[in-house]
Amino acid sequence: MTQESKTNVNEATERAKAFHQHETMDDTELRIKIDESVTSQTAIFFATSLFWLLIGSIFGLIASYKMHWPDWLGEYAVLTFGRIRPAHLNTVAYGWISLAGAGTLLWMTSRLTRVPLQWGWMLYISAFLWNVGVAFGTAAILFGYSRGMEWLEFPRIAGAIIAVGFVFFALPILKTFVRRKVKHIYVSLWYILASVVWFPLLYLTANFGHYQGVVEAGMNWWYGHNLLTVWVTPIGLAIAYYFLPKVIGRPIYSYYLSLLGFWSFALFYNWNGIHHLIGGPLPTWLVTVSIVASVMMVIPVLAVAVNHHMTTFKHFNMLKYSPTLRFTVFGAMSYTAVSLQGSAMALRSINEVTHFTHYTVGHAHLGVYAFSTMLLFGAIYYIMPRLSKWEWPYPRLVRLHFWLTAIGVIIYVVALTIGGWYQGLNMNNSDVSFIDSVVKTIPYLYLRSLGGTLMVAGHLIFIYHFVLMVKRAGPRRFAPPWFKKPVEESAV
Amino acid sequence: MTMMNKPDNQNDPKKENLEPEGKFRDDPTESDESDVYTIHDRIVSREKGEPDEGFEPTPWWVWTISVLVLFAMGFYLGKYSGTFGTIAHEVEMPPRPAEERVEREVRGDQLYAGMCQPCHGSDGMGTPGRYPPLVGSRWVTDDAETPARIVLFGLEGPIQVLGQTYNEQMDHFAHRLNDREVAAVVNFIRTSWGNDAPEIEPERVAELREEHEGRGRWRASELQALRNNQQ
Repeated sequence: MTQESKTNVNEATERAKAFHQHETMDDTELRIKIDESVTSQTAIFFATSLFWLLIGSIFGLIASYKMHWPDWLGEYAVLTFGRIRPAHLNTVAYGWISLAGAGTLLWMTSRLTRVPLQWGWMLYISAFLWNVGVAFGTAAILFGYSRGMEWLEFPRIAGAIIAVGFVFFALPILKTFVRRKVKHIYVSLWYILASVVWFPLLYLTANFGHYQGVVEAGMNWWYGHNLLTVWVTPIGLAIAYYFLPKVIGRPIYSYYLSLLGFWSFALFYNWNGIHHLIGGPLPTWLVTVSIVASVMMVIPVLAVAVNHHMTTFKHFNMLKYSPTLRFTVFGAMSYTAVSLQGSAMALRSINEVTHFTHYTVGHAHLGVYAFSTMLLFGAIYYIMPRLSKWEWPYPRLVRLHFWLTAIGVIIYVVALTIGGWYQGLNMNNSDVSFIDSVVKTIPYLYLRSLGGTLMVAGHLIFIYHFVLMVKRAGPRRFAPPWFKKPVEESAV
Repeated sequence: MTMMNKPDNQNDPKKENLEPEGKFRDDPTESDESDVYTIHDRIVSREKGEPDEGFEPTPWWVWTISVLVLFAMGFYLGKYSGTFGTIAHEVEMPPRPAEERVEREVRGDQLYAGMCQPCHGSDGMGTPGRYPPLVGSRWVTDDAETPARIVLFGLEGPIQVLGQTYNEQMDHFAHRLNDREVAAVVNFIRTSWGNDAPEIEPERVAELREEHEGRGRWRASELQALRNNQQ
């Protein structure tokens, strides 16, 4: 037994050594060549995603203010809550997250396969169609042509445009992968390839199948949650798996944990959607299976969390000066938090309190903002200097951006988590009238708007900084925009 | 040459940035164009290699927790999935046994409308000259066994109903209706349109089904003989 495990350790060391050797084949010239092959495409995806981030977060802010000032802007149909709120969700999901994610995946795919991007011209078509689809769909929602299903509000024709746009995004990724110059496929690429194959299946099934009644509700949430499964989460995890070791300069802790995390993720996550319909008219076993799978998500989440933590462990002091790492670690930690919270929320006893309350909204923002969006910010901070050949001009703005968004989202999530929990208890208490349960949430709703305002302020700073970056404005820098001068080795 | 400005200790960000020129240097003496390439060169050459994986073993407690979660949720699945049927029910209430559920769903009027009404009419008056009425017919209302026997195994040949003779065939339903359904439809015709006879239990239908198992259609004379025996 001991003999055997000793052999295993030796073997592992040998394999690790072999892997690190081929790292020396990386050279500056290849990186420059790869960066140049993706520059304009990635930049277009990033720039348009920031446009949608701006629009989407303003929609979100308006919706948040309307929660405590219900009459504000109510006189225009376009600006009523019922239209602004889905417009917010769709612009940030399909505009910001998707486009920024697409840009990041492109760049990472090229870097990880060690080949310049293939079929790059397709990405111009992709970015064009995608943006047209989101613009058209958002206009349709605002003018009252929503499909009325959460996450699927865009009319089918906008869905079709986005789907074609996605095909033109997926093909270059697959082609680049086929041409890869690496033997070992790094874990980020697993997630990228999986999402590129899964997403079209999901999106086409949901947008172009015919469903009615209870089945339609089931499909709706199967889709809603699986959009996170096949698109938002793989983007986030690919980024975290890439940038943690990249910035720290150490290999990811364990290949075996990566394997466990990926395959249990693939096995369990896609069953989760029906936990949105606990208490609904679906067959009970279907809901139960979904709850079971939601709790099983503990396994991949634990695997990923341990893997990331052990990689970053002993290097936490780098958070003090690396912008990318700070955003990435914040996002990776939020992933653990939001996933464990989600597993708990799927349990019937907890769900009957949190369902239909602001608690769920807090959970959603912990996932899509604190996890996904923060990781995307980190990725853009890392990638942009390589595209624009210019350092971020003002580290102060990066720092401001980080603290505004981090504090903003923390206020937002904490306020809604506490407020939503009490709201749920009040709603379940027959001694409390419904209007009382609503009135008692108002202080938390003000806090939510405060958090939202901070986040939007952070976005404005980031977008301003991004524009400076594209124009190569500001001081010429010859070193990275560290938050502060890195400390010496002995202090690590 | 792109490697020109690469620092020797490029893989160590901390040392690299302790270089005197390392931090936020503005150098207006260089031209813009060469600046851009110098900057880019520095950006890509200071970065670490593409990420790789280590091969540390999975911690034992990750496996332990995984297995525990699997077992716990397997138990949950078994406990809260009911019969894996299509019914939405509260998990705290055990799902009702199947027999009882079927009884709740069986409705004599619906069965009648689907199977009997084409010949015997929605008002139970039959089709004049061809199919006998059920309203007021003593074949229907006297004893409950006779209509149950007819529904189970069918009827053919001449039969006298309310002074009229009918001579047609009625199909058998033993293979299409279960005992509860036969009882429901018999009870429906015995209590509708003014008929007011006592109901038959599904258990009695089951006995009749067993008693005459395998036989063909009844003739009126056979039924009459059975009735006489019972009285």
